[in-house]
Amino acid sequence: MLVEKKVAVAVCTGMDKSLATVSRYAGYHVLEKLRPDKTVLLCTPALIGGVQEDVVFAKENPVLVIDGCGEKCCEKIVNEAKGQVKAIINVEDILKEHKDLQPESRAKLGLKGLKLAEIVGELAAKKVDEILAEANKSGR
Amino acid sequence: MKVKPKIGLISCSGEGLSEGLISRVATRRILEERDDVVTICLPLFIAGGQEERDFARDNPCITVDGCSKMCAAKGVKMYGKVQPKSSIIISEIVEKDSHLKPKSKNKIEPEDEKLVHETMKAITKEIEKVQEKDE
Repeated sequence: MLVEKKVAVAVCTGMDKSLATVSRYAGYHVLEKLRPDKTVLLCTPALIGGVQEDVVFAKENPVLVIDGCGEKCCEKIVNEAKGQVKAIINVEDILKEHKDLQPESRAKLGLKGLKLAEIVGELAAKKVDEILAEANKSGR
Repeated sequence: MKVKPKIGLISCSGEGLSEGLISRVATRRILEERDDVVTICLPLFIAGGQEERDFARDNPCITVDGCSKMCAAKGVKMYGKVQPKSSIIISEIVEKDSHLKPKSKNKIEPEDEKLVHETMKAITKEIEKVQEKDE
């Protein structure tokens, strides 16, 4: 029986910046609304904490990273854990294309920030489809 | 006059459990209430943020973990090579009163406010203990 792959979504979990909150909400958007059957949330701190379940999942499944800013912490952490990073989205880059959607604060995104999160979530859903299509093509 | 060092609060940033959200919210509210604490971004700390690691080496830190996996405390020890002065585990607070168990990973419900409040009380107590020891 062929076990269907799922995409592990790793989001920036930082507390310092509002872009981290956008990343987190974008993750919820794709995981809970847009592609709930095709995605699984990856807990990035658990990768570093060596939680076996999370480490194995990141190694055995394609990973989509949604980083908040240019520090690229999430990407670095997944790579450090030898996870299979297949696509990366950086919220800071998306904000450059939608300068009017500046989030209010790290605690409250406001309507503009939520809209930005939805845009990032929709882009993430497209990436999920591409990753799975590629995985099916190569039979992996 | 001796200047008190600021205390670094390092919150669980986990997404997998609702306790991760409680940890972040309680930590953020403490930060908004007090000016003697700062937060250290756990992912940046782990990913090699030198400023974060230097701060943890030079200042007392308290970790606020969501569950017994204690990723924040482990991360500080592994990557900062320092021992947190104190570690709070939210699942242990919940164990004492199962009615406090939160349900949502991304939204604080009105019934979760009590757990946020209990966690804030625990953080405040640990901050005061650390400050007393440093005097």
